[in-house]
Amino acid sequence: MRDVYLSNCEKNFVNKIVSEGHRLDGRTYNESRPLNISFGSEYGSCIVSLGETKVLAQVSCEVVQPKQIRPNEGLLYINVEMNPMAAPHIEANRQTDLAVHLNRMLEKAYKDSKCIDLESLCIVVEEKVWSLRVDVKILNHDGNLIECASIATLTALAHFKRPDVTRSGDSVTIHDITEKDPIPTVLFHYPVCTTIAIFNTDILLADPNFLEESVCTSSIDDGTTPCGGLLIIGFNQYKEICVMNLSGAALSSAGIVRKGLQGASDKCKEVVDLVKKAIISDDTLRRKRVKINFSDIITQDHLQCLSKKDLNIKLKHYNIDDEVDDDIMDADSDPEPSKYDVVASKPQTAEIQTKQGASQWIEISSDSEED
Amino acid sequence: MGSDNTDLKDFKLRPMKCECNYLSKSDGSAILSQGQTVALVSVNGPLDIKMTNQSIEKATLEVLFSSKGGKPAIGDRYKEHVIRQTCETAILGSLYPRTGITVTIQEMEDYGGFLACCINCTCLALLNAGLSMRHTFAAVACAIDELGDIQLDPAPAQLAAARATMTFVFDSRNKTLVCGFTEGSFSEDAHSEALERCRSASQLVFDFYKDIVSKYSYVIG
Amino acid sequence: MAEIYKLIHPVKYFNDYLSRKIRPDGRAFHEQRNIKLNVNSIKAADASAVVKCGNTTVVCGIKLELATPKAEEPDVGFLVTNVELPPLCSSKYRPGPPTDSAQVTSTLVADIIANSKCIDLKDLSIVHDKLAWVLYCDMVCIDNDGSLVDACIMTLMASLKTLTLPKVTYDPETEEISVDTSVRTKLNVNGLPVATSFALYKHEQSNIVLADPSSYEEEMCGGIGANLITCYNNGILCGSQKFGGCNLSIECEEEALKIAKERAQAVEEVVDVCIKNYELEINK
Repeated sequence: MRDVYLSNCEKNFVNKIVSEGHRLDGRTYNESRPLNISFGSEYGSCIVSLGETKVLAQVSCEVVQPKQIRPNEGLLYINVEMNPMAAPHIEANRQTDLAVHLNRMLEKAYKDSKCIDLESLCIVVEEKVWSLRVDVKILNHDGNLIECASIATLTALAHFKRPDVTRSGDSVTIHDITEKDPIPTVLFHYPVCTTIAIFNTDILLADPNFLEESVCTSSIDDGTTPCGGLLIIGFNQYKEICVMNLSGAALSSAGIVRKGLQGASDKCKEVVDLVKKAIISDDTLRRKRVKINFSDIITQDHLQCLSKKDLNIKLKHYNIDDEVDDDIMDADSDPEPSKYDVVASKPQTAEIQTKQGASQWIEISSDSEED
Repeated sequence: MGSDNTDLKDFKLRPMKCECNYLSKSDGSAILSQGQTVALVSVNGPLDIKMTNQSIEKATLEVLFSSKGGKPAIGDRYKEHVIRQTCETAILGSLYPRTGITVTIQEMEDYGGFLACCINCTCLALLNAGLSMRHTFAAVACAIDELGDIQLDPAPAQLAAARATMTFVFDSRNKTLVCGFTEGSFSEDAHSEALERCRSASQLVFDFYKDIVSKYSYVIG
Repeated sequence: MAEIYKLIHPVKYFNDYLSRKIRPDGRAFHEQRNIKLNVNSIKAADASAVVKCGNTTVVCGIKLELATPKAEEPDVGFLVTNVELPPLCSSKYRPGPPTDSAQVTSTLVADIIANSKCIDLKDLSIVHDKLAWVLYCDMVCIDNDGSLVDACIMTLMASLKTLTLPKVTYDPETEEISVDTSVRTKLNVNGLPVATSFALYKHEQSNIVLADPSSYEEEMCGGIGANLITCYNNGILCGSQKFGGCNLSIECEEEALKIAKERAQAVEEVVDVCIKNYELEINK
């Protein structure tokens, strides 16, 4: 990861306005950026945007052999990927610390919290189970990645449907989605993570953007008290804590955590309701056979947008089997004798050699170089 | 070839929809849908890169292709190679020596003509990033079915019935072939006919580029 | 002297040659390098071939294995092709995982073989849903001096043409497999795809097509690998890939296709002569 430098000017300004009760984008302390969820054409693919932060999640499944210690449970993999698309300072093909951290947070929230009914993914005990794989791609990094990524993961998992399976004796047939209705994944509870930025040891900001995140985790040069950090809290819809993680400076009082938890639990509940509503409305649209596709996220109210429907062109209709032309071409190419000899030289070997006099060497002498 | 055969036929490309500057952090980005096929491309550069990768003559171009789900495959490297070679001929790299340009492509939906959509989207993202280019480029895909009929910008159903599929990339100045790749077997005549049709159809894509740029740029409009 | 000139003015050096209608290695623009083909070179492999096109040398070995076919396609065997570019073949490569160019070449070779339909994968099936042949075709480049795909396809096809499959009997009751290596049948190969590489160079307003380019020429024409690869099988085009280089005009393309067609015939002849020569040897 290339270094991103934060200027003192920016840092001081953000610190100053935050302590005066303002934020750079005009939000209040507890206000989140607008959340938007859109689905792709396949089951289990969605793009979640939180302000400018955008994340793509895709769930895929395959049949594998279960682990020996858990012979009747399916598997869940979460894979977070970040490439230069997210932000220019991220290098390609290299795991960044941030991506590893994000991956671990999501694993804690969705794998370790046991929100997915893994036993329902079993097909034949000790032989065949479904393995779900969630691929999370960060498209645009503008702060609060964990919240955006966790909403994307949750939405994708809840939206995903796996193909139906029939067992007859030893053989297992997997039905195509067109043949038989696919089965949705069973989720016991819906965890969502959220980030709270702590400024000046006691100011809490919900949903920090990239600049606010980097300001609150950076140290202050003039040697005064280190000011803040990032608190990640994950709640499910029953207001149970699933994840908690603090990075940055140590907390000065326990009250801050309590204050943060109160705000976060309500927020997570709201988000879960929103996710459920989005999935239901998507499902009714699909039932009406409305084609849902990522092309719907391309809006038209933007200056830099354009859509064209009628792309018609009149073209001359050529005739492919134009016999006459072929004959002429053949007549042209026939008389030329081959310039090459084919010889069977050694056992198991054949050679093509250029006939003598096919080309001549010209020496470019040193005289001609100088002119 | 067949000059007396001048009956004109209607050909159609699937509707195109595009948004430039879709991503705020990249220097240039575009999302493009051609029918149901969607691609997202971000361009970053020229930026500072490691000494070992620097070239004193021109910008180092890096192309990354990221599929929607699953692990990276060998086929992805081929797509990267195609797009890198296309960009390399188009970008005036000698204006940005000792720097790097990164092009990242994200697959969104693949419903036929995906690579063509990626290439067109890349061109829009490069225009959006404001990099100096020799020419713009446009890709058109086509499919030849068992009867030898040529279908421009094929949908998945047409692809399934096709004997061969071809994608051609043309430059905006002389409409010469920048890049081309084919799948399946076909006769020479079918190849040259498909090439000619795609060459004419590429004008539609170039017009699309011009329209979108003139929409937001007062200088051109 | 010439070597120093080449270092100081690399572009002018190349242009000087081209303006005299000759290439730095003494060939005419459309002239290909000499080809040497040897089959059954590796005794440990089930089929093998070595080809030398100019300096470019590629060895291909085919290994046979039995496997269960995929559940979705129970009547289909497998043809796995892989191109290896070890550091010994060129100073451009370093030890380690396969480079991008090796992966691109692998994809190109696999695509050409699949598109030409020269091998019907159903021929590799032995018992429905139970048993099928896997052909592991490994191509190792020993010396990479340009036009790599041509050499890979040639050596692969020569190997496939000499490949014989032993008789396999399968008992559905006991699920026992027995292989009889003394009874062998030839693998059915339909046609002979031949790939021809070209480099495209813009020289004084005119586009030049260089057939069978060396690695130096490929580099001068803007990149790793050839700019245009066309492939013929039975007189039908089964692939035409163009990357980079100068842009291709219609005339240049016609020129290239004509050369490729001629070359396809010549290469077909070499492979035929070579295999006849080889069969004579066996029957002696």
